[in-house]
Amino acid sequence: MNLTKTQTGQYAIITVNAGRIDAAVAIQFKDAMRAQIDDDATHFVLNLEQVMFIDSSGLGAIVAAMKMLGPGKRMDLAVLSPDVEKVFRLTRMDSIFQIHDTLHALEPRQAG
Amino acid sequence: MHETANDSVFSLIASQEGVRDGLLRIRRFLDASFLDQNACGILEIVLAEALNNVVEHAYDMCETGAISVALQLRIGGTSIDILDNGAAMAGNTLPEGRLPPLDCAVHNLPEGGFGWALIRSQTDALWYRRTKGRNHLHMHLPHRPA
Repeated sequence: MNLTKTQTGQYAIITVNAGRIDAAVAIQFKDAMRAQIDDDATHFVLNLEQVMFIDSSGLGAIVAAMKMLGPGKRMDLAVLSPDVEKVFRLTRMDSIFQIHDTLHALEPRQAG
Repeated sequence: MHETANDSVFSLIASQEGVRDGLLRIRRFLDASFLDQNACGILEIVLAEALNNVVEHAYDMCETGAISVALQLRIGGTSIDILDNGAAMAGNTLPEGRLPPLDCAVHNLPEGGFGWALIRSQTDALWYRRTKGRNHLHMHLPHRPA
């Protein structure tokens, strides 16, 4: 599971470079996330813009990744496809995460 | 003029990769049908949960089986019949499938237990039968507006 991390203002944005987070890759996703969140950043955003589909195993892996964060750290979600959004909504997990519609909204505002 | 009835049967290898491959093939069939994208998405989500359950429980993650998925798409809803030769459902009955509670501390949030709740929330008919050594799961999903 290929993940990349970039810093945008206060946010460490973890981008999932895969079209699906499903039962076949849930464990690889969790392992890859564990490596990505092992740093000093306190506010992570999981960028799901390439992810077109998740199943409940993928959902569970995202929750597991959020639970790996130490105290005082948080993880938001960004750019959910319609089917990914459905899985979060139907399981009410959309109430647990802050969800950003775009990454653009996370960019630091120009001073002045 | 769009067709308003489509039927198809898919054969899947009973593994997590086989389910993924099957869902991709089924989604192409759904996308080419008269169904809207919302209905296609709901169907793929429900199928993923039902098929993952077959792989994990009926076949106990051993990649030796096959799964048959029959779809009947109609204006009012879609019928799904899933057949496999794996072990019977525990207690010969479907799990109750309530959504796990979320009003808890972060470290207690559920990482599973969503599958049957998802299936039950989207189906208006659902039954399971064990006949002649085969599992047969039937589901009907009404097509609701997005």
